[in-house]
Amino acid sequence: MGIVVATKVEKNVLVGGLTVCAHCGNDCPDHNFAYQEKYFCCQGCETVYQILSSNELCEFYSIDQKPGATRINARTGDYSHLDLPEIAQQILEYQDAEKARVSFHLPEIHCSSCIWLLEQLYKINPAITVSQVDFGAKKITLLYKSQEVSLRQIAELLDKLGYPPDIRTEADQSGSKAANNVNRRLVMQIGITGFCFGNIMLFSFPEYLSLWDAPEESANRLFSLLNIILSLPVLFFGGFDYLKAGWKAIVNRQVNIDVPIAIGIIALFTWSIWEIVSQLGSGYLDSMAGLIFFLLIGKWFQQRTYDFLSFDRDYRSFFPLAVKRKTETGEENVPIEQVVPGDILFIRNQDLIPADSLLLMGNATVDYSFVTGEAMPVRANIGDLLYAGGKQTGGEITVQVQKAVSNSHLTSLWNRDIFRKKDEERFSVLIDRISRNFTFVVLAIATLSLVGWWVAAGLHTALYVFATILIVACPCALALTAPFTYGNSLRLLAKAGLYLKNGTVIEKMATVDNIVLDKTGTLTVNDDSEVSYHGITIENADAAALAAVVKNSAHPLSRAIAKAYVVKPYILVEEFKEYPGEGIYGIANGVEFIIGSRNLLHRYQVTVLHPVTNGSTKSYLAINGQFFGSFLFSNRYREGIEHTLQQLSSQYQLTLLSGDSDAEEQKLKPLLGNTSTLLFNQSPADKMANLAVIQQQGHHVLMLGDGLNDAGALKQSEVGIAVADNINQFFPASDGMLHAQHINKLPQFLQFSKDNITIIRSCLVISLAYNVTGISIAVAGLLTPLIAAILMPLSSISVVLAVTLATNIMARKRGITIKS
Amino acid sequence: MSVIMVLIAFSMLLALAFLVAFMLSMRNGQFDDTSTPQLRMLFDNNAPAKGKGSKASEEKKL
Repeated sequence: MGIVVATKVEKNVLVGGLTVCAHCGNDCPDHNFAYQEKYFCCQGCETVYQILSSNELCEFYSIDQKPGATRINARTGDYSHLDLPEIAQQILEYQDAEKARVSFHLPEIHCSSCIWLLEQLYKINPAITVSQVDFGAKKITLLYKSQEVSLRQIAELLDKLGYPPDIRTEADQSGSKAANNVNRRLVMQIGITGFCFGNIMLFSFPEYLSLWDAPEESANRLFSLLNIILSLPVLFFGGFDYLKAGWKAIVNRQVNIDVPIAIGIIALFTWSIWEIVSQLGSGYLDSMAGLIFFLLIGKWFQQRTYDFLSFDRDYRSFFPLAVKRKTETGEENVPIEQVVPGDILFIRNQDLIPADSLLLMGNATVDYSFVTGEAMPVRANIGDLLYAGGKQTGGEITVQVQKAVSNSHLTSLWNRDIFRKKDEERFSVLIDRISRNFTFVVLAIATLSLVGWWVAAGLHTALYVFATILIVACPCALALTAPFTYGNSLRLLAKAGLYLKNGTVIEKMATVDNIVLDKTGTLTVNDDSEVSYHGITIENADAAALAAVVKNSAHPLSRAIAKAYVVKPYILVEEFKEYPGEGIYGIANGVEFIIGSRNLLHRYQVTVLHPVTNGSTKSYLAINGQFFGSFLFSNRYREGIEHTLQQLSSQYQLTLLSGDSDAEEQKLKPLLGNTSTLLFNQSPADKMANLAVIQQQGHHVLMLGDGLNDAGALKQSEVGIAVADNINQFFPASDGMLHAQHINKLPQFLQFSKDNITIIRSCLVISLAYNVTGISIAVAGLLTPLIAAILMPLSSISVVLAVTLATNIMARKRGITIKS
Repeated sequence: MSVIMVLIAFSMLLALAFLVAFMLSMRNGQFDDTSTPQLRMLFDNNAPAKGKGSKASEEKKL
């Protein structure tokens, strides 16, 4: 281990003349943070390194490239609420007198070094006995001695190491556990069915090759009996879901794809048993096992989901689990459900306001961007009502709760019916519609043949023809078309940045004719604004110093200014002061800067000469006590969005529903097209209502939004897609998640969904052709087990190959996958 | 011909043993996470085996 540390020293040396942080590999302008001859960009990174090196865990840095995540803007979370028994109870998976087990979702897990480190937590804290990482789900499961370490200490340790846990209660996690159980059952079904299928095939080989001299030969009997035994688990375990679904459909008087499948399975099984028992032949059990095996594989293919994404979170996943409440003696942590109107809460910088409350004390600058779509933080005065979901930026504030958490302005949206009904939907409406006609045609042909052969050749032959028609008509290929097309497309789309909940979404995307857009965070970039400066020209040297000063502030406006003046080399800031909600004061290079509100400038005896009077967001600038000018901020649109909107508007009716003011209407109108509708100042409920109006006119709507304020509209729409800047970010319940940097591919994605329907249609023709061939053979009374055993897998495999190939080709043609 | 019967009996027993092994491992959750083990196996285990033994036994206790 000592050697590993020694090699690390070389890694921290200058790369291209610049020092890089020994932990995260970012630029390290000053040498303020040093430890063991290594330099760090910030205190956070240094802390992580200190912990690792004192526990001989520096190998972390040599397993993967740049394993450390930067801690420069990281804020150490407050986990004191984990000491509350009622909260801990909800999170712990298991607990006894000595031990406890807990799982945390750690969104920062990203490389093999992370796994290596997190599975050696016992070296840092011996009270943690087992730690196991699930890389796909970004989850860690810990077993620890609850007498020696508390849940809070574990969460704090993970946070300190750069893996802040995303803590959710058991209620939120139950969804993923249920999915896991379904998946286990399916894999078990595939395993057992596959086992039986293989063995039945082996026992059927002599029959295919006509090796038996006489059907009554003892080995033949034995093989057939073994086949019956092997086919029982296939029918009753592997095929159970299909039989059940078929029965359910008949009871509900609906004919969908499950009905012909169930009929086929039953016909195969009963006819085979009858043939074997009455010593007429060896039946079609191999075909039955093969059919169910392929169907299960298809199901598995389209069911593979993204472990790390959750498509049905509500506001509770966004809100804290507990808040700090004022008591007579001081403060206490209290679970968010127990907050009642009248409580006095302390909200600190970057904390969420959990319920509609009155501001009692402190400088409130509330960022509502996620709730209302307003881009800039809003200042509030004492006595103002603050809405739930807003994020305080600045110092600590004291508020008095007015409404319970679940009945606040924003959260009451989730009390509506649309969030309560559990959507149980058919996998593919298209396939169901076709199979309805298909089933009736097959049943008609089978009945006619039964009658015809009964008259011509007697009951036995007639029953044989009837059974074989039902067997060969079993729409295996038909049933596999949609799962494989959608399954493959989901995979291709996910690679391109669009993660969909399931295949049904693709089918719905293809029928959309209306697109509703949110503005803030969807068309524009969150946390970033376009800056323009109006006033006396700032000299280059001063501009560099200005950039150095504003870089010290994490406020969105400061960050926007800093971005506008990217300057190197770095300048030492001699003095820096931040006034929450007002601005900043700093001295760099001997120059004094004041950037902020009119009030702040007044405080430093600077008069604002040219106040900005229109409604836009602004900051004034004074240099060395002299008024210089003002920075104006406007939304920054995502790159290339104009072109994308034009493409969309040529094919779709566009509507903009924004929670923001109409300041940018003139700019947006031409982009969205002449027929578009633009509505501003929309509350979350307005958005939902307006979307419902469009639907009532018979349109199918795709909603593109990002924040909690869009949650209602996303749910109401046919296809609700959330836009998120990174996949770890919270996004409201939706049908899919679109990576913001790929938003410009939306027209291609929509086109691709239509291609999917075309592919399915053409493959239905192929599978129907197989069925026609098979049925003709069966009607003629010529179907043998060998022909059935060849026809069934041949049709399935050729259809699977065709759709996989076709989706790959179309994805490439539409530019969704890039040729490597 | 009778030798085939014996062989078939043995082969079926063997195959069933594998099936049971599969079912047990499935039930223990070995197939729940298929992405981490492939990365974990690449780590050099140059640390002293401290805690390893207890790790396995702790897991069993649960």
